[in-house]
Amino acid sequence: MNISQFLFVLFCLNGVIGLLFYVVMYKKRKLFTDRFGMVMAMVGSGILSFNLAMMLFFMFPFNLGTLAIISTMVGGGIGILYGALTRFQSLLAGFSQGSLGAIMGTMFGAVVENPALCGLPAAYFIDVEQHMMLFSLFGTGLVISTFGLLFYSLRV
Amino acid sequence: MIMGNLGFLLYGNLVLIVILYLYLYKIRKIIGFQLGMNISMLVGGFGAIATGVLLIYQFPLKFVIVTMITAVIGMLIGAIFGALFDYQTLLTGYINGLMMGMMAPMVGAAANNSVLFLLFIEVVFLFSLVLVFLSAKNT
Repeated sequence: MNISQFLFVLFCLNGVIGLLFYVVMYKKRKLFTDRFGMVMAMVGSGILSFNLAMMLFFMFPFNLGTLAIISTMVGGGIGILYGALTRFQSLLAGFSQGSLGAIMGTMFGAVVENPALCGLPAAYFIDVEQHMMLFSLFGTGLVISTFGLLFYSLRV
Repeated sequence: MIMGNLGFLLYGNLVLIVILYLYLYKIRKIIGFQLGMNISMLVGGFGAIATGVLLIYQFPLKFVIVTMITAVIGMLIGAIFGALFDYQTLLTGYINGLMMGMMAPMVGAAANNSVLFLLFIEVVFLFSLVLVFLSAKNT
């Protein structure tokens, strides 16, 4: 399998998980307290925008500025969507955490793709593609485990 | 001298975190959730930063595996400290430890084995533990 196809499949998987989470939370939004809404918006938008920004950086060959603008808009949009379920307090928390996660994800993707940015040794240039696949798999695992914890919190 | 003994430093950090956990476990009933949220964020984040910088100084050729291990350690420290109080502090500590743990090896690799930076990180870590101790004592 080609690496761009692999990344595209994982990217779609992340998007589907985020959308599913939004639909489930939208149905149950009457049950939330303020505090749970804030924590939910922070946790969900932070990890999801981190992973999406990292994979956007791997997928598209633009320069760093353009990608940072695109992924920050995507991350902030995710944070606003999740936060708008309850109150304005949670909207602010979700927006800050989502845009922060997107900027961090762009930086992380830049370091993985070009290890000389952080002064890492030259041995990393040999298998950059393998590192890209490993990190996107690891990020998808983190997204799945985080949303598993969030779904579980509906039962607690 | 300090570069030869990074393992002992990591072990010392871990022991300090365990001692703080045991102290907080004894008085967890009188700490409210607001303070609990901030405690789990602070300890998870700075524990992950100190662990990540120490690990990337020790193994500069294994960036990938060090990043994964540090993210998992940060997640665990934040979640264990958050689990003292309730489920939402667990989630907050988890996400903060995860983010800090992802970033820490990058900072450590960019610092190019400078001893001054390591000392600064250690001092900030110890200072944050002292702050947590004082704020939990005076609550």
